[in-house]
Amino acid sequence: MNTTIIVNFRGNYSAYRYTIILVFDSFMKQSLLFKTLFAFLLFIVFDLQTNAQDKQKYTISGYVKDASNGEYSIGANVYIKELLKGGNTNQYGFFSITVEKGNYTLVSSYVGYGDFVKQIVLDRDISINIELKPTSINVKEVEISSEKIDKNVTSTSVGAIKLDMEEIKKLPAFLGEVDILKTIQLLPGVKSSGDGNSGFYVRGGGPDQNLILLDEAVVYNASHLLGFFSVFNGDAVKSINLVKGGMPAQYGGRLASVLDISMKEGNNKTYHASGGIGLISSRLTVEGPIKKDTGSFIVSARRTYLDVLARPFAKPDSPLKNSGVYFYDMNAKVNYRLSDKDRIFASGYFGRDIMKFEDKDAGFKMGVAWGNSTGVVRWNHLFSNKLFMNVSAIVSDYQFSFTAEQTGFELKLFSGINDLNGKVDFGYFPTIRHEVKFGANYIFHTFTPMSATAKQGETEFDLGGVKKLRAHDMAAYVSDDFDVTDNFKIHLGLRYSYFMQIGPFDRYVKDPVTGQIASTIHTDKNKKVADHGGFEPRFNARYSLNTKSSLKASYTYNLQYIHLASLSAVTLPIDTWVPSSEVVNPQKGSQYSLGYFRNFKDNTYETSVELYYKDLKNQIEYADGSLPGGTVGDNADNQFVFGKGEAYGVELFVKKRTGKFNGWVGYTLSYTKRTFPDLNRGKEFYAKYDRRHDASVVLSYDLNKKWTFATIFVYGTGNAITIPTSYYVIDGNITYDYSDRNAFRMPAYHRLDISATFTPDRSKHIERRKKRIIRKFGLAENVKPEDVKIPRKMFKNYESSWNFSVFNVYNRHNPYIIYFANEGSATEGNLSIKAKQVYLFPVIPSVTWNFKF
Amino acid sequence: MNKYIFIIAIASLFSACTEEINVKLPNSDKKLVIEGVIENGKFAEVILTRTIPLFSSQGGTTVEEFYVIDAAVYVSNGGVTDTLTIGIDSASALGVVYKGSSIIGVPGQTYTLKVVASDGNIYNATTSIPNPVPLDSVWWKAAPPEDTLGYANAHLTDPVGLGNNYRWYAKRPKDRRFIAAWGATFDDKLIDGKSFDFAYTKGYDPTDTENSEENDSDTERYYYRKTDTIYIKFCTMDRASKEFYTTFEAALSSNGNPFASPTTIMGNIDNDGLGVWAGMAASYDTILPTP
Repeated sequence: MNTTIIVNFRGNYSAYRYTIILVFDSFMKQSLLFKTLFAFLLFIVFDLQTNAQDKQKYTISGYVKDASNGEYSIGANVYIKELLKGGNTNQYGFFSITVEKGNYTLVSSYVGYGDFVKQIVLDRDISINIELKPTSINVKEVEISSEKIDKNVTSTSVGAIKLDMEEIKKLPAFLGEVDILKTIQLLPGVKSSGDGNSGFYVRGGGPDQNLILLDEAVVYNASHLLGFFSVFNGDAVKSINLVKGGMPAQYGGRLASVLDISMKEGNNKTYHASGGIGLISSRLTVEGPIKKDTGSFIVSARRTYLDVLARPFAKPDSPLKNSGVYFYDMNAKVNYRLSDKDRIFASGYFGRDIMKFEDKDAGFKMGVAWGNSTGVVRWNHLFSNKLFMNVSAIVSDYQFSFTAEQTGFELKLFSGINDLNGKVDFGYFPTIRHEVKFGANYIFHTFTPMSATAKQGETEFDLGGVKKLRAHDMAAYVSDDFDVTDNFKIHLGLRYSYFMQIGPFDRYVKDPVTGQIASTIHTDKNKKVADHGGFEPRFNARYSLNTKSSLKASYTYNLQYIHLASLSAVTLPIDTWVPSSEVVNPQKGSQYSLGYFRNFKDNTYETSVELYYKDLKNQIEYADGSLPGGTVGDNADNQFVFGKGEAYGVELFVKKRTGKFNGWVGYTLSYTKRTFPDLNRGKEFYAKYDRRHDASVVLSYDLNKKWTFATIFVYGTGNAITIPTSYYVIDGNITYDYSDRNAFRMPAYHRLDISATFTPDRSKHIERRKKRIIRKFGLAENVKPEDVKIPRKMFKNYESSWNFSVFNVYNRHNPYIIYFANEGSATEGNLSIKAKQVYLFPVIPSVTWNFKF
Repeated sequence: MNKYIFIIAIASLFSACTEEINVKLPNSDKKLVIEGVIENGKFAEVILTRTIPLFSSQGGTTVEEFYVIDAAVYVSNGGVTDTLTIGIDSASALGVVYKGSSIIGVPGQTYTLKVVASDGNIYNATTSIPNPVPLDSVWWKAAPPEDTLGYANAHLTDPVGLGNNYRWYAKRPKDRRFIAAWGATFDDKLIDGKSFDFAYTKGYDPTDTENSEENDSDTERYYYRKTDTIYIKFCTMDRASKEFYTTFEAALSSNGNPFASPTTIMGNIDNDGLGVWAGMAASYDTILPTP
């Protein structure tokens, strides 16, 4: 399909005019939905044109920041109180509102901060930097009016949730490590895959269908130690935005969700160090200004030391002595304001999981290492107070390697994926009724499928060599958040994406009868192997029933060009990504969702009911009988089979946002099904992560300045798995015959965690110390403690807190995996089969000391 | 299998706990299992058994419970049909086997198997015997640092052209039958047309309680002694048979492995029958005690 999108700005950028001309060669062939979208686009253009002829309008624009550290606030509300209209700050804290000349009250609000209120006389364009002051936990938020705008009800987004790090840090943490991935799994529609599994599942999508971004860079494997921890260090993260439905057009490439994580920029006022010392890991963060209020940096690092702690306890001759498993990671970011119109950011992440095993007696040595690295350079530029631009250059990399050595024989397995990504995004705020976004991006993917090298002494074995795969991946999008009427708002987006696998590439064509490679089709360097592309329409709408409640609906269509198929029952770092090719078509997903949102008691309680239905095509699984070594010397996708999927469910959510006692309750009822002609004899089966019931309760209570308590309870229907139903004998060996695919349910997963955070009151401590000084130096009785001044050198002012938590309070043995073992022997007449389950975590208490200088 | 090693190690570092549980199974029918082989120069041999529900027996399952002894078994080469008769053979895996008496396996020929079970169900399968590929030479070689324990080695020249599938069996005089070693089945995907050395460890017959893996000492396990006489049976077979044996071997290594996903054994029997009907071209060699 030859399609051109021309985005044409008439006049200069500060004029209120723009037109979008979309030229569709095959417009008439498109679906009704497409035509509707096109009609909407024309309507928007018309609306903008008429708006442009209106009388005088002026723009208020600027940034919203945290007053205490200069960090930009993402998604803060900024609105005109009189009109009850406004917007949110973008990813870089920028907002722009254009309204008619007049006197207004400008309000900015953000959870955890006091409201900013300012009277303004708008008779010219105004540029303003808003600083919001954090509210301490015991200060009730400054309420400005009962009509306060609430995003839950007023935004067009269905199925999008934003979480702040501060909120997450209050919750019980497993072994004291604050974990973003574990927290989002407490939200309705997001399912954990159980203890020790790295993936998460959103609305019936697979783990590879989540787009995980850290400062715009794709993170291909978001977990450490096979899912025990996430790669995101809570100390370096500012905010988390999860989109599980109604994906806006600026995102693409995955079917199920976007997890967009923004790193902190660093305090641009004063230097600080913070960190924590826990039972198995410690972390340290240093941040400060490069130039006050202009630039700042942050560096954050973590390492687990279970291996180091365990070593002294291992017997000298035990393999444990030279074995261990640990991870470390580092985050760093710098930003600098070059001018009022330009800012640059550079950020990066590097993490590795290392596992070593050495058995000197057996002469056996093994090492496994895997991890992500990302690097991002971004440039923000304001063309005008209405047109914001960001340009990014991004590198994402994921590597896995395994080495083993025994008596001179060396084996090395490795795989990975590397992306070079260039991106440009614009935010255009022509009138208060529109927020237009458009942009484009290009990714060059390099895939390293599982490859092996082996040698015995000096002899190298031919294991097929390393055959890297390469692909171009590009997309362009345009979207508009449009207030059609006071009550009706839509988000309309269109994305076009295109993917091309290029050479050098060898396709092994197999003889269907013998299964042997019959011929090899070679594609030269940079020549096309296969290409795919298509439009991805996105549509969200909100209709406000009143100020407290609204109805929302969305339709999104997504294409996914890269895939991760897993051969084993658990998700492993060894799973490799593969591109769409002439064998593998892009995954296609349509999602329809509908939601009712209502707030109660002055927006203290947010509630919602959301329904979704998903239709998935070109889903990928390994064929029956595929073996782990089968991809060596072959194309990985030659082992795949393809099918379709379906998922639907309802999500209920109640959240208390403010007050001493807050938290949420979420419940999801869902169905996730797959149908593959070549699996389960073509019969429909439930996906492994099909979960009928999924519930979570998250509560936290601020007792006083010193003590905060929190608890989490989760419940989920067990995973659907395939198990043996009977056994038989082949060549004298006991072998199993299995049930239909995923026909068995593991026992339900449930768990209760509790935690208490103790923050000692430093002021009392200082008071006591001053009294001691008065006593010690025999000062006159009329000297009051307030009169005593301790030099900063002698008494460093720091904050610290203790976090005590108990994971799995009632010691539930949640199954990690179920397996079957045969005992005895048939020839002796005592053969029997036992079912066994492995569970990972009994009740685990932990304590962590956190500090901040 | 390497990936499992490291996961097990990680899991054990995290104090993984294993416990026995009760599992309510979906109902399963008893299915017929066929393990049939026709070898060049020999009559067809077919072992018929049935599946047994997983937790069916309280006291323990005996070999007899697997036996199917009331079926009619026919092998045809397109012209002649051989009716197999049941008999006892101590060299067979389970001791009871249906044997042919008129058709002898010939390389290049195709053979069909038909089993009529007592419940009236009919199972069919087809296989053919490829040309044998004899080993060039065989020898015993020590595995350092041991000097009296080692592996069975062989030199193979793979014929040019893909599609050769091999299975390695070995037997010492005291073994009841030929035993497939660990990972006995391989194809020429990575070795097409090459001439090379390879080695196999000692395999174990799970039905032989005397010469079992447990009865070997830690140092001797998987090794052949320098003084062993080793008979080698090296077979070629068609693709369906290879698929069966490779998936069967993968299934064995995933049995009882908590992290493996179930491997579906790809058989070539129709009508939901399990197992294989395999044509095998065997060539035999002997490794004599190394002086």
